[in-house]
Amino acid sequence: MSFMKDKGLADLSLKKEVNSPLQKKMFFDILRIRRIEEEISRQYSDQEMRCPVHLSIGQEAIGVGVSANLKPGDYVMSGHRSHAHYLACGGNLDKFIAELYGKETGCTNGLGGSMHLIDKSAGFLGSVPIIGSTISIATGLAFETKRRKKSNVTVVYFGDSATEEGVFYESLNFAKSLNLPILYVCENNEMSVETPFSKRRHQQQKIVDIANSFNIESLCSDGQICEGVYGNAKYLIEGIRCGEGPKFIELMTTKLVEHCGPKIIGMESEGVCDPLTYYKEKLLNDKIIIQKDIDVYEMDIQEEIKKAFDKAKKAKFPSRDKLKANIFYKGEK
Amino acid sequence: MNRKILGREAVQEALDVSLQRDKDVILIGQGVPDATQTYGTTAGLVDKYGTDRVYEMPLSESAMAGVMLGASLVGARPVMTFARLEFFLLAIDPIINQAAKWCYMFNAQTHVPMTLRLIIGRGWGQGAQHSQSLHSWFAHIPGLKVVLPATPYDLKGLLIASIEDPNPVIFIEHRWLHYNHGHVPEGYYKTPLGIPNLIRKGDKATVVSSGYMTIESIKAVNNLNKQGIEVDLIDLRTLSPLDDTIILESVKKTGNLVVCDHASLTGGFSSEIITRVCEKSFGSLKNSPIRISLPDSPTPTTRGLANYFYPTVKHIENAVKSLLGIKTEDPFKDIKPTDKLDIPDQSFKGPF
Repeated sequence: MSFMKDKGLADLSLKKEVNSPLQKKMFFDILRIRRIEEEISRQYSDQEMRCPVHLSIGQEAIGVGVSANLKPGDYVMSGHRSHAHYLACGGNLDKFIAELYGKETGCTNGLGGSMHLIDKSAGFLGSVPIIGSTISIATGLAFETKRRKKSNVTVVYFGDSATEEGVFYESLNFAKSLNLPILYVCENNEMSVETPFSKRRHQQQKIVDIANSFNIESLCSDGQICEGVYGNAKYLIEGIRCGEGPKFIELMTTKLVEHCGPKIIGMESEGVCDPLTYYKEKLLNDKIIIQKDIDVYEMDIQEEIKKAFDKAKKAKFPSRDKLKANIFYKGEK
Repeated sequence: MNRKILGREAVQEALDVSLQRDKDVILIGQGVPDATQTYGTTAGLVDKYGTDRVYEMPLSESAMAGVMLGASLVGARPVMTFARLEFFLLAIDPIINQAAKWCYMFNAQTHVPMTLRLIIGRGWGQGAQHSQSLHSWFAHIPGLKVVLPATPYDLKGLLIASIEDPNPVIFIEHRWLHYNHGHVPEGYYKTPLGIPNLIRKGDKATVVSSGYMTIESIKAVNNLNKQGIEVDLIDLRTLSPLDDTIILESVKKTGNLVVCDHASLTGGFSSEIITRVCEKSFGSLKNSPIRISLPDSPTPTTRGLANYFYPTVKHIENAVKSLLGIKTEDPFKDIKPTDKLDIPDQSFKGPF
């Protein structure tokens, strides 16, 4: 795939930006998300997680690399493929797994499911599966942040197909017109369900050029190289924090799963870069990490995951009075 | 204390009071701060509250409705104006798919306190795309509140209540209501959402109406009173939520029901009212109910046809009379294509 050429660009920006604790943290975050998603994939056929799932396998480095730049008070929103984004910014694992099982202990008490995740304490203010919808909603978070003269940054993740929606263009225009503090993160996995990018845009069109044409500073790089994602996001987010207004990043990536469902397509396809394998080899080669660390961490993750699944399975479904409980908000204004 | 002002002034006062009372309230919409001041309904507000409370916006209805939804999640209380309801249709995803469901699908961890003012045009050749009344559509969506003020008093009271409500509210403002005079108290008050208003009392029939149709219904009921026919006139005020108790009680008393709705007939809210009466109080009906509505047709532009498109005061009068067994003539009988019925009053000189 053509995006592999960009690996150099991504590597270039990380020299002074990363240190070994951060490298380890990012690697372990990718590994943790991968293992969680694999467990969902494994148990999905039991037919107890009865909601559509869009697994993040293959795209984990993006959420991890971006989130490593976020601070308390920052906001995150996402679309249908949001598991990695939710987990990478600190979304609660137990509540996430319980949500997939539709249980009252889920992050929305089971009312939302995989496509409607939220964890306010982590700044993750919601994901929805209508493509592009959260682009404008997140722009509204940034609008209100700026109006209140607060310093926090909003990050919104969306896929390449969302850039075919009108709301994408409208939002970029508005964000630029008021110089709003938002980072638009386009994960370009070159697929819209099963329709390839080449069938949806002229081959000479690049998404990053669209954002650039709004006079929004924009980068395009490899989304499989976590440190590159981190470094580029750092550069852009620091600019946003300095009041430079909206920024955009297109990250080339590959989903290693079917569009919707548990099937993992595999890591061995020609030209595919698995962000987990790549990072593991790199950190072992660079002697940042040793295999024993990984083995210990793997055991910790497995235990954490097992507990989360056990708790979710044992939890109750929401009580029947929840059916119509929150159609309208009843709290004080 | 019986101050009378115009409907558009009542709207302006509601916005002014709301901006003053709550610093989180912001106004936005195409033309809201500009020289036309949305037909005078936002007059003076940008000067008084500044450009970070009263916003112009790019002509991006879809994104801007989403932006306001987002802003409302983190503290803002936006009031978004659409100069015609039809432009709001470009914002259907953020409102129907998102705002209406946000509280529910995220289990009330966040909510969407936003008000959408949708203005319906009529007359002066507004035509098929500047005159639609789609409140029945919106009332069909769980999670939206749908408000249809009629009187200047309620334009102000219901708008303040809508802005204070912590949920998405569709506030439907008929353009001709801006020209109506009526009693409006100064300062702050609100009309609670969900409680219909018994405007006139009588025992011969029940007339249920909403929005601009209530203005026509008041005239019709006044005419009927002069002929010795006393009826209950109930103005719905809001379609969602709706407490139908007063309607059921009235029909129990009168046995006759006319429902007036400023919208096309099929699938309209008049059907909902009649259905509720049939389901809950079928035995109290002496006659089949009657619906007064717009025809199942797009709105014609020329007054030569529009004169026969909108039901008149006479239609409402006749409906009541026919339920009472009184013979009536075609209500359009005296209307000519050349009649200038396409303005709310003589002060209106076009174009919008």
